[in-house]
Amino acid sequence: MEIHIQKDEILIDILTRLPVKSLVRFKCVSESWNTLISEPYFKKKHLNHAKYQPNSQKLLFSQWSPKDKVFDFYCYSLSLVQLVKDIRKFDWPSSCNPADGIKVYCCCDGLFLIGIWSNRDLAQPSIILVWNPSTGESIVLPHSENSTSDDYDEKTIYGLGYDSTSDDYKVLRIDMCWYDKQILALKSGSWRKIDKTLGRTNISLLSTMECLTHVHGALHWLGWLSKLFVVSFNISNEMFREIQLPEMMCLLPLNKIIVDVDVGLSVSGGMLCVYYNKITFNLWVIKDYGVNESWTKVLAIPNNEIYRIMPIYRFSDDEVLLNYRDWRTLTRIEYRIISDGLLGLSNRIWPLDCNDIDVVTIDHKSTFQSVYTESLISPKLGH
Amino acid sequence: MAEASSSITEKFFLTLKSSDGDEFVLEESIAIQSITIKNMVEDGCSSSVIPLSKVDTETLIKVIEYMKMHSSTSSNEEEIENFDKKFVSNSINTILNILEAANFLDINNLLELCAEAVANRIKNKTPEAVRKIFNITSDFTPEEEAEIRNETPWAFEGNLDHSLD
Repeated sequence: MEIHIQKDEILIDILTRLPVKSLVRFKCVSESWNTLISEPYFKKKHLNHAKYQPNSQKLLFSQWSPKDKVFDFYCYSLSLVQLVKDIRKFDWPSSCNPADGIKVYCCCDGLFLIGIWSNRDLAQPSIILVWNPSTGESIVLPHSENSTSDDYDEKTIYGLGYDSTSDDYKVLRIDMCWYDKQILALKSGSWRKIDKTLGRTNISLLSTMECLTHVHGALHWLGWLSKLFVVSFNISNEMFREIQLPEMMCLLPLNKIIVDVDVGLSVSGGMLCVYYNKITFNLWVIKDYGVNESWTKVLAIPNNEIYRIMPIYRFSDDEVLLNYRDWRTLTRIEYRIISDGLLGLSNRIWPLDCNDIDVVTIDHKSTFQSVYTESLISPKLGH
Repeated sequence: MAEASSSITEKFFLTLKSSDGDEFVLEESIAIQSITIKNMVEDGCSSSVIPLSKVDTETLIKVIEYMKMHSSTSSNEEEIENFDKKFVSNSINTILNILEAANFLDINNLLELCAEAVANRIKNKTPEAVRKIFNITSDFTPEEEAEIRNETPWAFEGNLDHSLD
């Protein structure tokens, strides 16, 4: 009996290290492997290991396919040298037809929260779903009762995060016009209002175009309240908080900044980071989450008149992957690794020799890319 | 001369006995990379031979090789790296045996090295190859297996590896 337990332990240790695709394939090895791989406990263990493995970090792209008239998602493996040609096209859940537009709201633990329009004239997406591209599993969320005011949906934001207290994923919906805040926990599957007295109710938001940033069990976005700051929403206790920005950014005048172009939030090496791009591209990370003094500048490079630069991934302390759109080639996203080595800043264009993918056609509004951790986490928690 | 002799630290030796009955003498400082052995030493049960009933001779030789290389007294980083690379090129069955021994002896580094190696070796394999490697008989009916496969046909695409090593 004892030996048997030890063997299981060893098996779990091995399987935890496998990519999602292998694990999905190995479900048909035997009943006990199938049971183990499908176990929520195992999925979590696998995720916690994968979070720190460079091989498990993937780059997800959406791309408009003019031929089939649909949006496709692709994923690539990341490596310091180039995008690895491990390209996988994801199948959409059969229930949706993303012909008229998609918007990726948020990403957490390998799950994506996505709005899909089947009618471009409507402000509200026809379907909102939580999708795990690595396993193909998805669920369609029920419509919120308050989602009738179509005209103002530009001002509705959605976020997705993990609540460790209830071991559940929660979707946050904020209608910025009515300050209406609702939560849907995937296990319960229905929307509920959040008590207005908890935390700050006057939530501002600079842009609804951005993807909310999920890190440290909270969602983050840029807000404005006499000065620029970060608003955070804690997924577990459902409280809003403010995080001050580095001093240089606090002084920025509102009429002179465009979110996602000049300023923006992101996650870098498991830490919340903020960037500001004017003449110089600056990147800060908050090393000690919750301590405003711990904002540390990790990058400052001349932007060479490139107006749209985004931090994508941090390989190590001194190697950051950025993407940018050059004004000369607006339909292309280029990737560049910036290394801050002993000899000063050097950079490498990336991908180096991936001819089949370096031209990425961009639909201005809908193209999206994000680094995520490949996981087995199922969005189907309701049963 | 008296000075020189006093600076020599006394070395303790342990005797490890494999399940096949072979005995191996090993410096204590090297052997205690195994937490199981370390606990035995601390409990004072190490004066005689330590029987390792779950580890056969072939596996124990490998484990000792590993512990010698990884003990703090010898080897630089590059040497260790090269050793590890060569070490995991052993047959997958050998690595699985070492993995079990590492688990029993509680040698965390070795456990991680071998688990990672096995994962790397099987990640592109077919379920049939994995069954053979792990000595598993499928308990699915052909229909059940087909059903699982049909749910995720993409997981079976690409160049899968049929080999058993």
